[in-house]
Amino acid sequence: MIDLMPSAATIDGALHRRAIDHVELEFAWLTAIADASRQIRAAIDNGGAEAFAAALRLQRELIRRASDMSVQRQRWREDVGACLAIAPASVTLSEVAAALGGAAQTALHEARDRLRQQVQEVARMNRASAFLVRMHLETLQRFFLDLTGSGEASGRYSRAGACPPPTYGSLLHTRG
Amino acid sequence: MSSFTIGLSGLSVNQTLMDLTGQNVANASDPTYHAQDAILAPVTDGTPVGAGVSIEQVRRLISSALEAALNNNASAQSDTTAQLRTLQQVQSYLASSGTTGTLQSQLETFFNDAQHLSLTPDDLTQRTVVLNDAQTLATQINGTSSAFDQVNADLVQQGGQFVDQVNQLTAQIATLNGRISISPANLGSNNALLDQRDGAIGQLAQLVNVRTLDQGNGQTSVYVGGQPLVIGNQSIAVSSSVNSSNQLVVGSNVSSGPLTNLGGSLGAVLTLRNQLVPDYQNQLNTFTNTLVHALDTIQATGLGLSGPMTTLSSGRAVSSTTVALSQAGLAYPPPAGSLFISVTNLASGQRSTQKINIDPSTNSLQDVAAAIGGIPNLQAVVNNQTGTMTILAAPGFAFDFAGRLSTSPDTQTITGSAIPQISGQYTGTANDTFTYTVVGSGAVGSATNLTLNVSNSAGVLLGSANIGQGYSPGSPLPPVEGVGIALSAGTVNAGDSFSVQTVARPDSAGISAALGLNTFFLGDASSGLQVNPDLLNAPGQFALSGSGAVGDDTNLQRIIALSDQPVLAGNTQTMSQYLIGFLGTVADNISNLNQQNTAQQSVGQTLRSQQQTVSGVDPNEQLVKLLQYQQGYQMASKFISVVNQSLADLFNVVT
Repeated sequence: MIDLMPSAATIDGALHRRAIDHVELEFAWLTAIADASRQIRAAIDNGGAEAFAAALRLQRELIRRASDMSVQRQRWREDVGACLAIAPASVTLSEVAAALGGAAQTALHEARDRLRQQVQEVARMNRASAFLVRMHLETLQRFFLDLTGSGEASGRYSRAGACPPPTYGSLLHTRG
Repeated sequence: MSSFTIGLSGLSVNQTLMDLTGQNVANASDPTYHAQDAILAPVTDGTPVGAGVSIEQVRRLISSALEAALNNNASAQSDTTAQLRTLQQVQSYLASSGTTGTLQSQLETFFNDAQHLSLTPDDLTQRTVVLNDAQTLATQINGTSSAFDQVNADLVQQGGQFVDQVNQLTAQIATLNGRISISPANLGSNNALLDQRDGAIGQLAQLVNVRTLDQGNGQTSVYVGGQPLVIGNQSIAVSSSVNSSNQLVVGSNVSSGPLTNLGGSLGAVLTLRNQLVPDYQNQLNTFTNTLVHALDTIQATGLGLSGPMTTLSSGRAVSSTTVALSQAGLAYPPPAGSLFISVTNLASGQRSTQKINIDPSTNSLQDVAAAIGGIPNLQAVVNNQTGTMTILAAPGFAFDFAGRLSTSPDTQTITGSAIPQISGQYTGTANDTFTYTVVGSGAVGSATNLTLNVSNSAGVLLGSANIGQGYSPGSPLPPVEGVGIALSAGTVNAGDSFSVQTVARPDSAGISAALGLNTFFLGDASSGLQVNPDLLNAPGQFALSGSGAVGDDTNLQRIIALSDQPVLAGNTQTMSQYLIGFLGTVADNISNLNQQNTAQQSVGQTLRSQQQTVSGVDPNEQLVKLLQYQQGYQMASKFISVVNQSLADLFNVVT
């Protein structure tokens, strides 16, 4: 729960309340995404199949919630846009804060900055996860190609004891 | 530690796990490969959140006890398989030889044709048929004997090849031992070497029954028959040789004697070369010796169509004419016994049969020749160069070894004027001396109460005949065991007596067979057995008669009777039964080995199945796991995409 400043008497109480509620909703959404990302990351890092499966279940749930979240965000922007007489696509927290003025404006700016920081952090996590997942998918794809003879043979441990390095290389080997 | 490093550690670990899974799947069909898994451990750097994860050890999934059991099974199975392969080869030699069938069937053919010959014993064509049957049988014996020799030679060569393979594998194991080092932080880098080393031990186990000892440092020592072949990174070479006892042995530089209980293919070679094949060879030799000795003796102690001989050379040479016969290298050394030689005056028909005693432990060929030369009208000449002896009869005389009755008593104390004359052919079964004693006195053919009693050497009265009134002098008295007596006109007195040697076994020493004196065969199974060429060239010399009388086939009947006589296996089996038993022995051995081999295969299958649960790779399971990972990553990818989209929307809000 975000700790926001109480609304000022001079501002439009309803608009302020609506903005703060939405910021709280976005924070909750980002928190859920961050948790799920950490969970899948931990499952991948630790190589646990069960933990991986549990993380995937959570992701499926969040994929469904993402759709709801998108609808709620759009509705908020439409409502606020109507109140401020601007197009929904132009509704931002900065626009809302400018309309409020005073302490409410300051409080909303602070909330916006914290939310922006959180978005950036989750985006970084998402990029890291994307890299991790891409590497594994590539490895799997190459393995299956190798296994089916579609790719260059590599990494096969022969009877003679030779174990030539995979053509695509192991990240462990890359790391040295 | 940065989040990047933590992430990279997880990425590395997961990459290794993926590599392991891939490696497990890729090597699923390699029997020497042991599945691997990783033991993970958290990396700690003192912070509450930790520093990621690392692989502590990549271990092989292996059960030492199971591996040892599999090696034992491999040894046992290789042992029986190798034995079976050779025994089936031996069986094929024995089962059939070209178009002539088995030894046993050819022996039957010989006896059957001999039986047919008895209808016309003087028929030269039918004699040739029987002689050719015997020659075919001899050829088969030679072929079988040669096949055994070839099997033995092959086994020696095979043993040498197996020894080479053993040395290559032990050297390989020692080298791998040297390369293997265990460190606590290893990441499975030695697993390939360990698999390779254990694979080599598995291959070695097929050659010899190995015992392994884990040295505790990743190295394994290998022992065979209690002797070390690999200790650490040192291997001990073995070698094979045939010792003075004609045994194929395997030894090493560090063992004081031959390695024992080898097992595996090499152990099978030793078992075959030192036990089974020699046993078969002994059985073949026993049969051959019995056949040769029996037919040789029958031939030597009979008479051909032309009667007794005037000259005869021995067909089997001694290594030295002066050493005892038992030491003279004869293929069929003679036992102690006697030889009866009859010398016939060709003009008068008078015949004298003499006995010479032979002790092979002391008598040389020279001694035998001297004894023969001591018989009137005979001469024996030894050729020291060829190791042979030639017997010559004086002009007008001939000799034979048929043990025929002397025509005159061998000893006599007759005070009257009557002269005994002997005729007939002894029908008894043992050598003996018949003594004839006169009871009463007077003129033969007219005196009253004049009888002639006959008794054997044990004093048993065999018969009594009237030679007084009523007896026509010169006419034969009723024969006693085939021995006929006639007394000429004249007188006899009470107590007059004379004796006759009766011969059932003219050559109890077997000297004729040993020296090849008028024998049926020449040579032996090892040097090449053949029917005496003199007989093949002149079938009339085939000695089918025991007396020399026209139409007599006594000797042929002895040959025919041989087919039913239990002369082998402690006088419990006929020659035919012995051959059947011989083939049966091989078949029994094969049957037993087959049973063992089948059981070993079953045990091996069970062990390998158990090994799969420990070390093996189930490709389906591994692939399913990989596919699950792939689906999971694809799901994660979708999630990341959704989040990315959501964050893009949110960015628009927070600007």
